[in-house]
Amino acid sequence: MSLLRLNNLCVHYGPIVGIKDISLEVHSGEIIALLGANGAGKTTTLQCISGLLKQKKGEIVFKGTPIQNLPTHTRVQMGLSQSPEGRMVFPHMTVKENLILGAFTQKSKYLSHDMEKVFHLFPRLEERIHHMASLLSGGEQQMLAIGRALMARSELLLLDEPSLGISPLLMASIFQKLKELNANDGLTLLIAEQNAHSILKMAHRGYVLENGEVIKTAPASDLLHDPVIKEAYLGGISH
Amino acid sequence: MYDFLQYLLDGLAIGSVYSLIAVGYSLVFGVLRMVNFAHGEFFMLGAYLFMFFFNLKIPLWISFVLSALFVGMLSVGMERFLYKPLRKSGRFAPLIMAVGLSLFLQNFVQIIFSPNPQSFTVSLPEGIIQWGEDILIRKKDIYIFAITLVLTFVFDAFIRFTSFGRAIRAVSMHPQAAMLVGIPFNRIISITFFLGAVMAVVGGVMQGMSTNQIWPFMGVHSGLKAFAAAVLGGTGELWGAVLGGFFIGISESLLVGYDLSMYKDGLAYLILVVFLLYRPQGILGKKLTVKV
Ligand SMILES: Nc1ncnc2c1ncn2[C@@H]1O[C@H](COP(=O)(O)OP(=O)(O)OP(=O)(O)O)[C@@H](O)[C@H]1O
Ligand SMILES: [Mg+2]
Repeated sequence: MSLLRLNNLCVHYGPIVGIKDISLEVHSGEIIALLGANGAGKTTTLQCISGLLKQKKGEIVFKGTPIQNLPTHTRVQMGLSQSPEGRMVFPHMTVKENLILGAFTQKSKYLSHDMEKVFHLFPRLEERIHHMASLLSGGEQQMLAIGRALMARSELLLLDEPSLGISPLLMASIFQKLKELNANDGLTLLIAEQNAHSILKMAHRGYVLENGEVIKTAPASDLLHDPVIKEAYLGGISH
Repeated sequence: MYDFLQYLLDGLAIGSVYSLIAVGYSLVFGVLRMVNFAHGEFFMLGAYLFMFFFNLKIPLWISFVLSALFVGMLSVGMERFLYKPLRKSGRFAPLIMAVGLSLFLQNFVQIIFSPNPQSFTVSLPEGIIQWGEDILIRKKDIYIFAITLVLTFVFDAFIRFTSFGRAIRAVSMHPQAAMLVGIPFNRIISITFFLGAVMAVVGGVMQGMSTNQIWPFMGVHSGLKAFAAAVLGGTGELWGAVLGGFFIGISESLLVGYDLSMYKDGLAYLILVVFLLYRPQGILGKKLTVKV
């Protein structure tokens, strides 16, 4: 079943074109990789899906409903959450308060259970539970941003470069756990990444963006072995 | 020494009123990074409306609730219909709108009521308590100070521990992140305008009950001092605004006490200029993180 579909989505920053005519589809239960170099349009696409950016034209359909004109908080209530580029943690709040805010749209009865789940994923956050978010390291803030997005109990989780600032070892373990959430809880993931290799190994399908346009879409295993993709996004690593 | 203590106590009562107005300036600046220069008028309107309802023989408490609701809704309406459309037009347009609204409300009240001061027929309990040999404390002042403190504590608890309060703080810290966790941004802005206006109404009614006189320009006069208090305390900081109000009230009282009353009104401007130039985040304020 199609959970999210973008139809010819265009976003402009004043005279600058952010993305043009992006169409993509995410099925329920999938892990989708959104690949592209700096400035390819990954963040623009994700922020338009969550409503932080307004499209110039095009359509966003989530669970069968066009959502492109709904405010961001309504989209979150419908089951869409995001760990954004730049982390956007609440700086003068503790780790705990950040997570509580992540569950803003949820009933409080889930709170402690869901927080435990996040701490299971990121034990580091539990050690820092009473620290101000602004005092966390970059990697810890990244964990907090992902954890906070998970607190929304969403059906579709948008992750914007989750590997940024996180050691490859930790990232492998986070990807492993996200994969488990996908397999066990049916969480659908749309993940923007520049480091294509590890993400393609866990994703089902991928879209490749260049200059704000989709230039290729294929099953992840195909992209992993595509010579052009290998050259551009996998640093020419051969496996 | 006794004089000094006496002036200090007098200043706390004057400052309480500034504090109550300053809270609104501060909260609104926190969530929208906008100075609502019409905010002082809520203080004036609150006092006028209270008297209006009270003169209709409506009981005191109900008159208060009605004036608070009325002014609160006016504040929300002003934001929704007059400030919000200008949100994307830079900082200057909402500022001009606020100054315009402020002038409009002052003149409106002059037309409806009178340009002259009106008598405010409700009073706080009279009486004086003598403390030691020389210190005299008006009971009124104790009430004003106590009400201000209690309200500030209640408000502080609301901001700290309730879901709405946390949402207000979240919007102040990072509006986009607040939207991403599902906080209804516009509703939070409305609530903030409402609460700020209600605090100003409490200030206006207490001022009336204390001096038994209200006039159309009381909002300009005290509003500016309160704005200085908010800047002094660090805009966006609840306790900063309240302490800033006390500070300005006490300074004024000291200036008057030591025969320097001609500098009284200039002080607020001086504080404004110095702080805006050298410490815009105020005494308690955290450095604003620059956001793109
Ligand atoms: N705030 C902005 N103002 C103007 N142009 C912008 C803005 N943000 C992005 N752009 C432009 O839009 C295009 C897409 O940028 P976007 O941030 O979506 O890329 P990205 O794929 O997320 O890149 P990165 O991997 O560096 O995060 C780029 O050409 C960029 O210059
Ligand atoms: Mg990006």
